[in-house]
Amino acid sequence: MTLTRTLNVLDEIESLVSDQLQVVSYKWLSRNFSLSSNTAKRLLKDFVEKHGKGFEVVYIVSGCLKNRPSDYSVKLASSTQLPEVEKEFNGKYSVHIYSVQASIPIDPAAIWNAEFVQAEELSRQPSATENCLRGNRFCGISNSFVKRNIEGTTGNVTAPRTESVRTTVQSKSSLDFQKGTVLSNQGKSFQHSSHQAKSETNAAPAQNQSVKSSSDKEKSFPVPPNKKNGQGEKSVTGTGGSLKNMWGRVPVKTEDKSAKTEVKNHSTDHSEDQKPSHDADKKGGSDDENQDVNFKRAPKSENRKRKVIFDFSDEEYEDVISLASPSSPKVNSRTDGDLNSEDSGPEKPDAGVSREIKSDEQEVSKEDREKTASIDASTTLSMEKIQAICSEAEVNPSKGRIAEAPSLPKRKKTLKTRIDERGREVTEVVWEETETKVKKEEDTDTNKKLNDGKNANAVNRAQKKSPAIGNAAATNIGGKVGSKKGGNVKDPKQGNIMSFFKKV
Amino acid sequence: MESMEIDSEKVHERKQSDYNYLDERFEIQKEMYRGQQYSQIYFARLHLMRTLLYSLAPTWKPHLPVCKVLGLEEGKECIIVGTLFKHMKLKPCVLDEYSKERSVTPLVKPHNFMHPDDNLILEDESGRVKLGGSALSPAIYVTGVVVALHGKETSAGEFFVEDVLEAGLPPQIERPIDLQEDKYVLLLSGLCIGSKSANPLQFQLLVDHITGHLGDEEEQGLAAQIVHVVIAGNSVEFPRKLINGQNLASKDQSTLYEPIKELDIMLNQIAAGVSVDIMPGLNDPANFALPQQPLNRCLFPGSAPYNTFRSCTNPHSFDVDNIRFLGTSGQNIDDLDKYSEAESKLDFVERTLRWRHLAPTAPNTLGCYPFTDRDPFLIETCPHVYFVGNQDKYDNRLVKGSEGQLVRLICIPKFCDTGIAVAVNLKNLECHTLSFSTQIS
Repeated sequence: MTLTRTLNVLDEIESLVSDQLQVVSYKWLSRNFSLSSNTAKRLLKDFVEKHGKGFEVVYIVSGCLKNRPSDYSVKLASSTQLPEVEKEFNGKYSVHIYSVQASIPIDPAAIWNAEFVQAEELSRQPSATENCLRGNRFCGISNSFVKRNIEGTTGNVTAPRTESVRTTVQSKSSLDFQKGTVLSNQGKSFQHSSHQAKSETNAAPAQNQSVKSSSDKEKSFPVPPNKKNGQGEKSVTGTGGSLKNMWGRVPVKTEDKSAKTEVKNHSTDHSEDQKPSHDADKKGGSDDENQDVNFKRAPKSENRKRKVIFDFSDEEYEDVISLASPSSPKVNSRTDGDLNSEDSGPEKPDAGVSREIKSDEQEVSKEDREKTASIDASTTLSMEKIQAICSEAEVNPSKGRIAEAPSLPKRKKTLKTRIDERGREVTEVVWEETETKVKKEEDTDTNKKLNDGKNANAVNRAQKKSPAIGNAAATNIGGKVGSKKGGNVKDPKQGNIMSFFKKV
Repeated sequence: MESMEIDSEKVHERKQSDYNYLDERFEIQKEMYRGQQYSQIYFARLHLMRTLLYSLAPTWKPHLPVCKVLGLEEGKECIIVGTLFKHMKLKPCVLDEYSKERSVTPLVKPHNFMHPDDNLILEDESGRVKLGGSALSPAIYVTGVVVALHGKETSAGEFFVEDVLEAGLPPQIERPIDLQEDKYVLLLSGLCIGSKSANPLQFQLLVDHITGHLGDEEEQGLAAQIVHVVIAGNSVEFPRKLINGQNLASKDQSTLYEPIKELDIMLNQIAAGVSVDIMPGLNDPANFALPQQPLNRCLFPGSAPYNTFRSCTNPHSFDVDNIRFLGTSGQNIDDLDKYSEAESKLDFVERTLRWRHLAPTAPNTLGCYPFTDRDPFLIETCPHVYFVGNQDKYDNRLVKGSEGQLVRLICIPKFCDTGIAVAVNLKNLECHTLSFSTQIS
């Protein structure tokens, strides 16, 4: 080490210790200036010799104690204690400086703080970065057999030889994938995340129904087959980051929601795995137009809705949600007829405005519901859809009800009770307008439950959790959970809800 | 990097060893819970041990017949094999909580539930018989041990025990004799990061020593001989008052994850240099029932990528250079301590070895998974080193078996209290301690 460098370092140490009152331990020094530990110890020794007075020095004595010659002992000692401590050791023992500081703290552990802060910072660096913490640098022992896996690619040299093949292979392969997911979430902000991470978060929203859909906009990747596993882990490990980002990307939600409506028209043959990528595609494409549309609708309410979404993860919710807004069918039917002539009719201007906005939303939800009918029940998309519906539904009923009072004279609501093919008594809300009737037929099942379970759902809504099974009990009189969809009436392409409930 | 420094300094190369992971028997991923009860694990235990004891009985007392409990006849001397059950007066029973009079149960739980009136009963699938006589001391035995008893039935209907046959040390694989160099396996436990008594500086000194930062070159050379590190449980300690079912405020949440983060950074430093195993303990974020499953790798984002880092079950079994290690985080011995007595903890450890069962009190008083077809705690091969973590003080003993087995029993003290870690020399099974003290003022 050149003399100038040495002097520079010594000066820096001095300023750190006296001005910033930091504890400079040899380890901290070695990491900070990229020196080996032994060099750092020597430097500290030079420093003490040069500037010794005015600073407290902590020495470290290591070796074997006199009274226990076979046991290795390490002791810290201040400069005053040093002679006594040294006496306890016999034979060859080593003394070197552990740290220099302005004053010795009462709690010895405080000496460790600066070093730990440094270590923490090093550990926070993206996991792909090699640094002195991870690379076992600056120490006196090297180990070429240590390998570090970073997102599936191996870091250093060869594996430790003769590790039992079974465990190595298993642990590595599962490790690699896990690391891929764990690491991609760990220590990286969303801005940082790798493609892999992105693709997985891409897929994640569909699965988790959470706001990870924020990253949907990015490239859609072919989803890896163990997507689910990865996501499971992701949700565990990435929750901190992703939840935060979820809030940050709240506006994206609206696009997602509306995008869903378009995506729904896809064929039902898609596997769950493929759906999310389609989602991404669609969402990317439809973002612009949806954005405009969305902004027409009350953005505030969208925001509000977004917040309540999380817990829904069940196909059932779709029905539940549509049930949750008992007035929405009425409103919807109104808007359907009134698509172009929406601005007329309202008695009260504000109610009208709210109704208009609401009816737009209703329209969307209605469309959603319709499209629900055409989609494979077991797709994850429907969950997102449910999100959209329920979110709208959450807010709408209150609005709907307020606006409902001055009902439009155009529609007349009638309740019809009938026995459906399964022998269940079904009460339907039927609007006299033909247009709505058409739609109604498609939605009979959903509306059935809508009306049947109105009260139950009002309660459930309030709880922000509507366990599908609970509602099924409420809505289906004697019907099985699986048959909640009333799939018979719907599009035959629609899958059986029972597939969602896997037999254990 | 100052290359000039490297020339003048000697960098040691860490010694390498073969490592074999043998925890498959303690993993429960393949187990299916179908609502079964614990009788099956007892049955499996009895079945396996009985086969063993039947094979040992002829050499022990060749002239005596072996019979079942139901086949006992008054006055007839015979050998019976079964599971011991110790009836304890003070053993806490969940029904006590519902009893109208609570005078019998003391309000303060005693540490040890023994009572002079405790008595032993032998049980097999055909029946039970009360045991009498002084050959079998209730103070030593606990429920769940399978033994063979020589005696006869008395008129009172008791079985008067004259002699006891325990399974004894299991067979041991020959220790390789040709190890020339000193290689050490470091054992530590009870780091208790996050507790008030834990001193992070102490642990940092240990880590620095293991990785070769501490000391002069010669000492670093000694540290280079450490080939493996095992952390036997209780690495973190969470403040219990926070875990009360309420939602945590965000400031409290940091007290929950800070200990794990700190542990991860320290493990990162160790794993970067040497092979390390971490076992779950009683206070760790792992399941409660034995065998405890490995701590989730997601808890250690910094350390998990290393191929040297291994998260293991409790109990943990592994081979280093064909030296078999077996150990637990201490729950089995602590439970024995509650229901029996001994002069030192090593006596408990030795007993479990002689009974060939790691945790005989499981599932009676020690939480355990209801295995259906096997008992994973049976010790089939005698280890060379048998360690127990989280004990009060360091202790070790060399036990010799009847067939030439040699086992080093080690009680690993809690590091947070004592600052002591244990190093075992693979060459000769000698062990010594490494102690770290940070008393400055």
